[in-house]
Amino acid sequence: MLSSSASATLRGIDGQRVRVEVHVVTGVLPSFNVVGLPDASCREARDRVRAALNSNAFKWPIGARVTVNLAPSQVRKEGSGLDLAIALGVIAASTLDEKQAQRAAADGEQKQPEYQRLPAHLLDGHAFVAELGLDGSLRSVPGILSRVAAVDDLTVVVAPGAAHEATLAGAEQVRCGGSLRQVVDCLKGVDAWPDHPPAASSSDRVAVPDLADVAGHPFARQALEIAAAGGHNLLLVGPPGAGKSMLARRLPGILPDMEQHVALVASRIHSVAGLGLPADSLLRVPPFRAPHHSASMTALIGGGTSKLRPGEISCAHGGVLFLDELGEFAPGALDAMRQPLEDGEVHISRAHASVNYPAGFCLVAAMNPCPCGLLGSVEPCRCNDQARQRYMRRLSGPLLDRIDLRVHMQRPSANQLMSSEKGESSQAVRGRVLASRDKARARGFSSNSLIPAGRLDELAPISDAARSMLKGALADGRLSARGLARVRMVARTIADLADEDMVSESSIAGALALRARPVLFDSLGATHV
Amino acid sequence: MSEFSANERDPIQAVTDQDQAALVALAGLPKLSPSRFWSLVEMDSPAKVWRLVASGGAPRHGRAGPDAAHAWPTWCRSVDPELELERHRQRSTAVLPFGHADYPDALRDDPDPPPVVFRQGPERLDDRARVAIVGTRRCTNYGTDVARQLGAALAERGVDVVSGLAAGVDAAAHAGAISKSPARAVAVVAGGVDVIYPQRNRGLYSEIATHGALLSEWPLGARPETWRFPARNRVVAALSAATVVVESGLKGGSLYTVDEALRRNRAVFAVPGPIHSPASRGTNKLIADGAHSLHDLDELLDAVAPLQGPKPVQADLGIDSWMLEIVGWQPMELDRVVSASGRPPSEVTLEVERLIGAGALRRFGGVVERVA
Repeated sequence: MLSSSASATLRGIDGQRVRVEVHVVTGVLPSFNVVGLPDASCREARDRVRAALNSNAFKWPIGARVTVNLAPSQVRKEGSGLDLAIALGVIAASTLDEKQAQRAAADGEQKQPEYQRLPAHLLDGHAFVAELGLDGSLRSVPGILSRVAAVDDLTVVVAPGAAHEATLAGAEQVRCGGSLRQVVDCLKGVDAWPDHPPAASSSDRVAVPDLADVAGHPFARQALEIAAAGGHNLLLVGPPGAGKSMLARRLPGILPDMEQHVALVASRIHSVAGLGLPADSLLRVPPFRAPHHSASMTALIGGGTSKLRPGEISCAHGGVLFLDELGEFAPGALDAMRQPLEDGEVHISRAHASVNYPAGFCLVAAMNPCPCGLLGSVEPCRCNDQARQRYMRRLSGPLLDRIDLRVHMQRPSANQLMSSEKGESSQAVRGRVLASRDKARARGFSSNSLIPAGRLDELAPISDAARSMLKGALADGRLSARGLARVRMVARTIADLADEDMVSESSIAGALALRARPVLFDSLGATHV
Repeated sequence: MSEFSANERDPIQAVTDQDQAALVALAGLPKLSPSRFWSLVEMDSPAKVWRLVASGGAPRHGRAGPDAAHAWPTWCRSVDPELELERHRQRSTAVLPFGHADYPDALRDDPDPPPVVFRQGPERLDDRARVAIVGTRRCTNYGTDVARQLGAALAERGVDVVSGLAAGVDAAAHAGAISKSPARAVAVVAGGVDVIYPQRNRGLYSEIATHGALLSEWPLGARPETWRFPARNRVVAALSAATVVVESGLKGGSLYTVDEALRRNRAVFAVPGPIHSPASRGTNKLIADGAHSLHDLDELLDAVAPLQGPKPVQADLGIDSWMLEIVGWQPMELDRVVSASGRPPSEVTLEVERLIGAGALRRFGGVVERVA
């Protein structure tokens, strides 16, 4: 006796349709096997399914050999999302059709009660994505968005808590059931499918702090605006207490909401990573990820030995990755970020699988200028040459080279701290950011940081005065040939914010000032950044 | 005042390849002080001395206690003098015995000259003005700044900058000199000229070996052992008409250089520093003890040598800017420039970049400073 139903597993951030075939045969040695590359948590389904059947008054086929095949069998299946499909498959495969029932009755066996029956054809046209509890209740699994998208031509049955997310994935029809019993009854038409539970109210969305709370810091505020408008990476250098983290946390508030296709990818990543989505919609507000500096390379980049998982850089896709205390991160982990920073995605290969995780994020990093924190201020720095040398060795030059905006922040003065004057609000800044993003889109790029160097002359023409300023900076070594294109991109963004068609001298000056090497490198005479 | 008198040593005769090879090998003997080296080479021709040393016949040191000479015969067996000489020639390292035409003039008349000098680089150290810039390896930002400026200013005026190519002040002085005129950098190192120490001075080593003069008392491959540093400092002092200590603690190798300079009746300058800074304690004490206080570059130049070439005129940039008025001559935070001027940040940035381009302003982190 055979049954077959559909479910889905994860492969990277994409769903993969899985056909769950169950074969039940009696008269041989009893056993229960799952074949087709299940991982450990998937194999554990055997115990959950057996208990769930029992708890919901289904009879386990006595003395039967139960084989579950997960097709396609060359794809590794992970997690518990196949539980429901396996359980229903076992019930359906042990349901006797009329001929078999007659034969069984002739053999003197008891008649199979109606409540234990589930004709196999009722599973057609459905996909089942849920984990089972030992009491037979349905539970949600990570990555619903991606899994449901892989079976969106079918009627998808999920746990009540996942119904909303499944609807977002665009499935034709989403059903939910509280327990295995309820799902079987609804499939047979004995019971009606329950309504989806109401989506939780959106009040649990994390409020992004407002820029109006930041006093002073005229240059850092400007740099934050440029970073938001052009998608450029930003490095905040300053002593402890200067307000680096405070400023960085306000960046999502001035970023435009994610576009539909970015939002969908970002939501999938968050769903797969088990981070949860806003209650009522896809992820719209750009994510803000701030991993602690003890994060391992795998945590930052993604991967893992037994189960692949997206890292922080992917969780920040479409938003901001904030690395506080940049100098304290493991140098190897930082170096590994260079390629994703260039390509906007990371390709992770392990012996058992290889996946692409999107990783298009805006990097915001913060660090002290030197171990004592005073370098580059009017107070004399207390570090000796060796301490600074040690500190500098921790920073990857090539990574810093990919950060176009570098601002030195000072501790705010007492006057600034005590003044009742508020800064410009996030909403006002966001208005300018949106306008300049529109200009970038009109040029064919979602942000200015994506303009290829070869098209700068056409898309970012510069005035004569600006040209001579650039020439001067190149001549006296303040600007490298490599930095030239980056400075022109940033200048394009500054010009967009100032509503200039041609890049003026003032915009070039702004970009040059932001390109200035961190003061630590000046103090040691290093030349590579 | 001097405990030395000008030396009356005879030139070392090392014309044949054999003698030269033996001299190179002898210079590498473990723990061989310059005075003991002299006593060896004054015995006989280098080739014969080498055979004597190799056979264990080197005369005992006058002092009691263990004698380094015990280890010499064993060491000699591991060295092939001809091969050593060949290596020096391949690496274009000049071997200059005392009395050689290219042996530095300044050392020829010195009371305590090295018997042999190894040199890489085209500069022959003929009769020209030289100033030593020395200081601690653990220097502050102020120290590197001053050393670099001094090195640059001296090199610009045609004065050789002598230093030990150590980390800190030494490296900064050389970097400054090279920025203006690479030929004016003279380095005396405490190991073989091919032994780069510290590693991060690799760039300076190759720059000086290509354009300036890179000197050592020891052959290629000699490690920079502790006992070699004081000997090296004596050569730094001997080569220079004046010695400038940029930063130094109360103890340190730079003070040894000062002693050597004083023994030779050379001028010693110390750069005054903050009284809180441990790196300036030694220099401030030197000033208290009577060293010249270096607060004016022209004063130093007058002391070392008649001016070479026209004196560079302090250019009046003729820049009139509202920003220079606000900034004045004190370092000022950019945030304060904005609040003091009442202008928008973008306008301040434009003016800062213009002035940096014109060479009137310097940015250091979040601070700007007027330089002209």
